[in-house]
Amino acid sequence: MKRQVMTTKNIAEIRKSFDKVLEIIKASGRVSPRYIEGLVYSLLSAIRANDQERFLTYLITFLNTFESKEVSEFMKKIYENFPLSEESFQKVGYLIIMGFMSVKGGE
Amino acid sequence: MRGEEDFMVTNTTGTYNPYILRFTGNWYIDLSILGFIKIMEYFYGWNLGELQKKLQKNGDYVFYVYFPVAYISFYLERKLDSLGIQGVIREEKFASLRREIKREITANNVLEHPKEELFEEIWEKYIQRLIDVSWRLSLKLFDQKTSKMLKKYEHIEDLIEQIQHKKFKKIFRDLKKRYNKNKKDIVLANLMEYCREKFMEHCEEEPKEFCELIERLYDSLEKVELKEKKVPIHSDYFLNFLIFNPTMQKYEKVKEAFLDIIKTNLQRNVLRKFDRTINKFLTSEGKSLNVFYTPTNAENIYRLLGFYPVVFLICFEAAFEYFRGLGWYVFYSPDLEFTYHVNKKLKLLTQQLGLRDILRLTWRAIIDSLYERHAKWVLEDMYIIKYRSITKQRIADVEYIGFDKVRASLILDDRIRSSLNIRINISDEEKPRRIWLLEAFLRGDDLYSLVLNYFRKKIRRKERVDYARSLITALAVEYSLRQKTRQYLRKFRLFDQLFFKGSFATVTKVYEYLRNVEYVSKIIGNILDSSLAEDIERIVSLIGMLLASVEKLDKNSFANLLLSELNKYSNTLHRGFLKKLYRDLFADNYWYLYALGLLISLYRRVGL
Repeated sequence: MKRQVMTTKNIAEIRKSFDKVLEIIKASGRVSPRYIEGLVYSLLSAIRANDQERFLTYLITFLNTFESKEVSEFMKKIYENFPLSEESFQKVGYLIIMGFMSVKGGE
Repeated sequence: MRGEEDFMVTNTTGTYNPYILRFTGNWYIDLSILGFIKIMEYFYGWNLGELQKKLQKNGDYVFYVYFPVAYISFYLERKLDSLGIQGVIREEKFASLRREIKREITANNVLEHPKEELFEEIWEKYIQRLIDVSWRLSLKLFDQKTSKMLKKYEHIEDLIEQIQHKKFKKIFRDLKKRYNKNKKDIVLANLMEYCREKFMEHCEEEPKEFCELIERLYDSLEKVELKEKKVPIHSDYFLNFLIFNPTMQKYEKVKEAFLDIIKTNLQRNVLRKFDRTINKFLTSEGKSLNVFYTPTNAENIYRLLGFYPVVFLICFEAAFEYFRGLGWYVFYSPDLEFTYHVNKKLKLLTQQLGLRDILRLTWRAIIDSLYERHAKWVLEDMYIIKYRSITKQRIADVEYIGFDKVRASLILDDRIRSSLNIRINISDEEKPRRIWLLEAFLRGDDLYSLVLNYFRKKIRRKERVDYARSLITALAVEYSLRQKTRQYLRKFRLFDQLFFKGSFATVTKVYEYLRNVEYVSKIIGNILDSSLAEDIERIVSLIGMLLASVEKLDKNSFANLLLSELNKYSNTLHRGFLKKLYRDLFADNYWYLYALGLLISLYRRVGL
């Protein structure tokens, strides 16, 4: 399968829709910091191994609990772009991980 | 003082005063101007500002009165140098006279004459005396032993005066007539007899030493008698040019030629053609290159300079400074004042520090001068010009030490410059290998690898990092430079907006980097401090691991390590901080520069 190299424009788009998703997660208020900590570890290990499939599985499992238009739009965008080249994958991956970390922390 | 005003009125018309020294852009002419300044400074002790003032006040007077004395004196001293006449004798005979003349000439008694008569008078009054003394010095008339002996017999001053000066001629002639023989021994014997007679009038005893003295005096005076009096100036550089031509060096001829030079008498063939006859470095008139789009003859140079062109050109050699064991050097940049200051400083530095590396010293002189003057555009065009040997009339080495606009703008920033002005030891072994960061930067070396080497060594030995701030600044500079090259490569157009204004952005980039690193490292440092408490060992080992991934340029492992460490404590993480971390560390092409800066500042916080 052909692996895509993401342009800065694509990443910006993903970041935009991901911001909306994060707001929803935050607003729901039902996610414990402990859970996110574990999720971040799993995602980090997936990035380290460059295992995109595992990364997506973790992500979808988590986001599945939120029923919202924004979430499905974000997932659609992610799905369109995957699988990515290693460099792009790292960029997107860290973007998502750090987003989750910021949800956990206090603003 | 009335005289001076009159002089001005008769010689300068209108309010515009053209006598301001400035560089033309042609390095040969520019260095000639520098030489002129140096000669004037040597004799009168005026610095550039004072000289400019004098020129503006009364330019012609400077050229007709001040300059000839200084110039002749300068080259007389060169000759004495080459003959090895130093020490007390020279001090007594020449230097004291020089100072006396300087006092007289600058004591405000401005002479009231037309220009040429003025020159005549100065020549008779002062230059003659200088030439006389150095002529006798150059014949080694007063060697050390003789002058010592002369001092011993001070009580017979009259006699010595007679022998020394013109009266001796008379005595000599008388003796010759009386005996009508030309043989040296007989003449000398008779001279001794004569002197003895005179001497006995004063003293009763007849010391042996006195006879020896007479003999010595005779020897040296014979030289004077046999040789025709000349102006003992010599320049290897201008070899046979007018006044330096040995066959020309009679009083009157030198005077005449000198006046021609000042007057820029273009009737004279040698002066009209400014070419190989002056120096072999120049082209011949016919072949001359297209430098000014015209042949390089005096007329055209006259147009370029505006006033007294040949006066400057004959000063070219004086611009060079002799450095022991290295040769003749001069520093050149297209700004007169900057060049002047750097050269002065260079001389001072070599005296203070001894001589090691001419390039390094030049850099120091430049940096020092930069603290005093800000002349950015000059920085882009600098040369060290070297003469291997002046006798060959050849320039051996021209080292170009300029650098581009970006570097120039960086080095002009006081904080960046002083931060880079450190030496770090990057050697692993016992023998230190010190690198001056500023020099490395200007030479275009990779600052990143230097800092990395230094930091790696320090971590391995668990030593304290000195100058952490300077090291981070060095990384910041490297960061901004690399970004710059990237930008240039992407969209470089000559003379577009980027070309002119791009260099300003570079400095702000440096400060942006510093701010970011400070911010990020502060937060991470706080987290590590609170979590790992006093466990310094663990923090250091973490930094070591992170450094290893920086060295491998493995962004993934670096990010993984850092994030999994942070993940535990992320309750306290600020969203803006994470954004910054993402942008600078994980999305930046030069993330390793950020990472290394972060590590250094973390390591510093640990307080080792």
